[in-house]
Amino acid sequence: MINQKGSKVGTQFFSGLRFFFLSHVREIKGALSEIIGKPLSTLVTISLIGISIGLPSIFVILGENFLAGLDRIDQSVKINVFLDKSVLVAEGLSLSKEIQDQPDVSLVRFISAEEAIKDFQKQTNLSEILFTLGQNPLPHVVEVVPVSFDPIDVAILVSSLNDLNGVESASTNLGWLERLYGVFSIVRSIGIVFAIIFFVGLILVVAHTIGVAIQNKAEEIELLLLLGATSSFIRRPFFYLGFWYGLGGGLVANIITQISFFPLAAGVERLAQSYQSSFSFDRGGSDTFFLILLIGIFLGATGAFLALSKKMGEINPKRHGYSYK
Amino acid sequence: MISFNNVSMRYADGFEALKSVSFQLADGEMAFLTGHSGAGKSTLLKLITISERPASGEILFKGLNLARVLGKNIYRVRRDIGVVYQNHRLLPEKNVFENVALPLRIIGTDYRELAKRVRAAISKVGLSGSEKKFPNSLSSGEQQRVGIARAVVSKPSLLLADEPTGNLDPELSQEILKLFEQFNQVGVSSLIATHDLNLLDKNNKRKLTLSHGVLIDKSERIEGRDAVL
Ligand SMILES: Nc1ncnc2c1ncn2[C@@H]1O[C@H](COP(=O)(O)OP(=O)(O)OP(=O)(O)O)[C@@H](O)[C@H]1O
Ligand SMILES: [Mg+2]
Repeated sequence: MINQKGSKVGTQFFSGLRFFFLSHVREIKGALSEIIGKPLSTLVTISLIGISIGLPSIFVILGENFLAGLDRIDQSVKINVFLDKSVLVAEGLSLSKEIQDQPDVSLVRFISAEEAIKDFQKQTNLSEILFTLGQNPLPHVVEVVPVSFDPIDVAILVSSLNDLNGVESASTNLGWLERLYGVFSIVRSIGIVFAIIFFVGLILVVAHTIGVAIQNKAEEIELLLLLGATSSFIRRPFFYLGFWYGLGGGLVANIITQISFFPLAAGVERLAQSYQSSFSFDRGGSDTFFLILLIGIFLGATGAFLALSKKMGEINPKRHGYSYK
Repeated sequence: MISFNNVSMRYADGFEALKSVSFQLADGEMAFLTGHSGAGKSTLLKLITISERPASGEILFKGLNLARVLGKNIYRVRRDIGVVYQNHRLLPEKNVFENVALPLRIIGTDYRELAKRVRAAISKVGLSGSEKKFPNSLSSGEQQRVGIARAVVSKPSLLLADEPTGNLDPELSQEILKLFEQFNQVGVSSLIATHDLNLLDKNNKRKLTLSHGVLIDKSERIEGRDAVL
């Protein structure tokens, strides 16, 4: 008997749970058929969402890629320390040892003036000119690989090397890198700023679209309220509407982003190859895909929330009654 | 079932639509609410569905004062009252089945039970087989019967109707009246606002008569039964 009773309660619980899910599934499907039923306006809304999320995503992903690419190029950063012409080879060697002992230096290579001129002769056909000069014009050089590739750390190291006795000048190719860093952080920042502006606009667009949908259903809402529907019962389908708009917009955003990366990625990879870099363009992977979807859904739901709090506030049965004529 | 005690109602523009109205409707009673156009019939029904609030007085329904109920109790009251409107208020993009099912969807009835009750209500009003039709493809009388099926499908304890036969010819009016009488016979209390003589003259139910917001006649002596005040 007790068992029977228990199983009955259990059955009721599960049928209640089943009803809960089934009715939600029904409403989610209802909202879906609602947006499919108006393909043109749905297409416009979803494309708008897609473009507004897609464009800043392109900027952000591009910026990220370039910054990641620069991090790799950094690995080849070297500081060339040119010694005074008066410095002898032995002095140069001890100076490079001294530099090697500095904590912010990872590797040091001493290149004597003779080695340098040989390299130079190998790489160019200017040997004759050098012979006519009769004298080696090159100084001894110490190649320094820093521990940190951070542009600021490198700049500090360069200036301390410049201060050393016997050093004519120390310099690095980092200047252009630093500038590129700046440019690409700006690209990324533009993406983020665009994203914020677009997202605010988007929420308003979705809110407007759903607001119109609510207005079109004013009669139905009025009736449902009179039949005793709770306001959450009435709100739910519009939330699902926002959900579908957001999901659809997120998908479109992903498509736009990926399509635009086809030519971009090829260009970037060719560029990287010309720098002997094995860099490959990162299109953003599955986490980016889902992040963009989530952003879409979030914006859609937020828009729906806004529209509902504005419109439903006007017809909230808790606050005031309702005329049925 | 429901009792009005000195209920006055004033619209936002200051117009006093009901003046100190008092009456009671007994459990299981069926009564008509009549009076000239603008007498306040619809206003009185709106007070019961909590679509308007009285300026003073109390309206007691199931232990709640409808002049003051708030929050969840509003839903509860509305779910316990079925309303039939003159203009049907059917949703044009939903079929007959879905229109009738609305009150059950709202209270979350399990689908099997819902389908059973919706079919029963539709058959009760003589529209079996029209479940999949849309309101616009039905005649005015058929639409009104769908509206009645929707009003009774959730088995409310009180049935209200505002000019339920307003657009119908005398024959159809009689059919609708018969439906209300059938529901009344199974114990549903009902209050029907109308000035349709086809309804009023062809039965001996109690009549509440309003004139310029004043209840001038609460009962017509009905043979075999005492009027309830
Ligand atoms: N929203 C409103 N604001 C102001 N006055 C109103 C409002 N609704 C109705 N009235 C007035 O209240 C009075 C009663 O209206 P009500 O609709 O209750 O009459 P009724 O008896 O239902 O009339 P009918 O038979 O024509 O439907 C009328 O004079 C009407 O003009
Ligand atoms: Mg009226």
